[in-house]
Parts: sequence; C-alpha cells; structure tokens
Amino acid sequence: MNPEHPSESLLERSLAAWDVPEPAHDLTDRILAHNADAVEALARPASTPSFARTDETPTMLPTEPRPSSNLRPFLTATALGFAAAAALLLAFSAGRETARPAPLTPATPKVEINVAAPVAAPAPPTPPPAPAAPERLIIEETTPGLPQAPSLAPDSPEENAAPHPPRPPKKSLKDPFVDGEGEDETPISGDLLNPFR
Amino acid sequence: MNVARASASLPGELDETTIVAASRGEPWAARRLVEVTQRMVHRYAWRMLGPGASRSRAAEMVQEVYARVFRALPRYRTDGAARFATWLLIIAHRTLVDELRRRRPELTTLEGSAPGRLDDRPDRMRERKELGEQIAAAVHDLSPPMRSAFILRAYHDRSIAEIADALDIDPGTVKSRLHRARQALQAALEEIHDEP
Repeated sequence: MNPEHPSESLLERSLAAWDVPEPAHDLTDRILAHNADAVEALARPASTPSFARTDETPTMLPTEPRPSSNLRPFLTATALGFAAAAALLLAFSAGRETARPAPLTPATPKVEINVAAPVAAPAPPTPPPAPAAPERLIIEETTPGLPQAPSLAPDSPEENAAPHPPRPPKKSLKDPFVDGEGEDETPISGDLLNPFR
Repeated sequence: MNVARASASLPGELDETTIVAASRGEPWAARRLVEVTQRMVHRYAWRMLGPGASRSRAAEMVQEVYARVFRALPRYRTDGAARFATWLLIIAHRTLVDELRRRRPELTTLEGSAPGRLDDRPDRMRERKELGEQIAAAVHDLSPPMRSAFILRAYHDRSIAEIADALDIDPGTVKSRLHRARQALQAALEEIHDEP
C-alpha cells in the first residue's frame, strides 16, 4: 500500500487508489421499495400448500405452465387448419388424377349423346336417366391437362361444379333441326329470336 | 493486484436460511439480503459504469440489479455450485453489460470519484486521487467483458472458475482476458506517467 515502495508497481498502486464512494444510507430502503411487488410475488406461491413442499427445488414457478395451456386453443385451431388444407389439396389432386386418363377419349362422343338424348325422350322435359356419362365427358373436356384446348383450363373447376351440364341440349328439343314433324313451322325459331313479334 | 484484492470487501455471502426465506418472499429476509449484499453490488456497478457515472446512476443500476435478483431468486439453488455472492455478481454483470450496450458511456470529468482518505497528507491525497482517476479511466477503456473480468478478479476476489461462470466463458479465456487487461492498463498508466 505504500506508494513509495519500489517493489510496488504502478498498476497495483493505482488499483489500490481507485476508491468507490459508499452507497447512500437509504439505498436499502430504496431497493426494497422499488422491488416491493417482486418480493410480494415471491410470497404468493409460498402461501399455497402445494408449493410449500417444493421449497427444495424452487426452479419451477407456478406461472410457468400457464402460457402453454393458453396456447392450446390456438395450436388446435392451427392443426385443424392444416388438416383441412391438406384434405383439400388431396381431394384436388385426386380429382386431377381421375381425370387424367380421359384425354385418350376424344370429345366427339358428347355430340352423339346430345343427339341421342332427345330421341329417347322427345316430348317430356324430364332428363334421361344417365347423368354419369355426360358429366364425365364434360370433366374430360374441361380438364386442364387436355392438349387440345389449354385455354379452357381455368374454367374447369366451375364447369365441374355445374349441377346440370346437359341442359343446353334440352333446349335444342324445340330446335327445328331436331323436331322433324313441323317442317313448315320453321319460323318458330325466328319468333323466339325476334323480340318484336 | 494482491494489494487491490486485499482492500476489497467480501460481503455478500448469506446463510442458507436467509436465502430460502427470501425466496419465499419473507420481508425480513429480503431486507437482510439487500443489506448484506448491496455494498458489493454498488462497488461493482460503480466501477463498471466508469468515471463518468454519477451516484444516482449507480444507485439506479443497483436497483435494477436487485429487480432481476428477486425475479430470479426462486431459481437459485442453495446446493448449487455457485456461491450466492458469485450468483449475485453474475446478475450484476449481465445487468451492467446490458446497460453499457444500451447507452454508450460518455467520458466526462471525474467529479464523481470518491474522495481520498482523510488521514493522508495533502500531497499523498492528491497523488492517490490522481492515480484513482487514471486507473478508472484506463479500466473504462477496456471492453465491457474484459473490464468485468478484471474488476471481478481485482476487486471482488472471484476465482478464475467463478469469473468463467459469470461471463459464461471457459477459464482459459478468463486468464487470457485478465492478462491482456493487465497489459493494457500498465501501458496506459506508463504512458501517462512517462509524459513530461
């Protein structure tokens, strides 16, 4: 400690000379007042008997598990959302796969059925009892994988969702090209088309 | 460095009963904990903050240290490896380092330094005051991790292993930092005293 001692280095003398002022007399009270809430919070879990037994291992706070339980609804909803999205994706891909073999068949059979349908049921407007074939054909035509009409691809979901695709041919029942009885009544179509008559 | 360590006070070691009672939030134990340890924490904070620090800023930092201490107290294990004073200094170190990172310290005048001993002669008082200001400025020029290691060793008598725990580094790195800190401080002081 003697600054004049030759063996005492300058560094050690300097370190010994670096004094620190004493803290304020009321620092303890200020610290306790500043942390009164924290001390009270420490007292709360100790008042419950379940935590009184775990004094030897105080690493677990009683409030620690709560955030995970609060997250449970959110995690459940997220999982359900992912499951729904996955199911939609699977259903969409399955629909595309079932429609894939269709491009081998040309679109001409549709025309044959449309012509044959009025013959099977000439007068009544009830649809023929074979809805599976036309629907399949429409799906095939509007499949985006078709090499013939790639521009029709975006319309395929709407057409697949259409409930009654073969309806337009039914209107053609009144078309004079189908109805062979009234050759002299050909102006009917003209009447229908002309709104002034 | 032995001289400095001999002058360092080593309070801060609490008995296990007080620590457990404080972790339960018993007021008497919380008061006892602060009374026994606050001088050590204040000295560490004062030296870490450097010569530009004011008393009020040091007191604010001490309060912040204890805020963290009371939050972390339930996780302190009395049968663990760390002594309570070392555990407390670890929290103080992290609090001070966070503060120093947040606010770049400004080098100001040394008006916050402690007064010299009253029983010294005036010339020795002056020399001592100058030496204290010089070492405070030189220590303040060290990086915070190196500064912390040096202060913990020189003024708080922490072992190499305890400093390694406090700074979360290996003991070899602690030795390296202490060696480089000592070299830097010696060079800074010699430069000051070699000037005409």
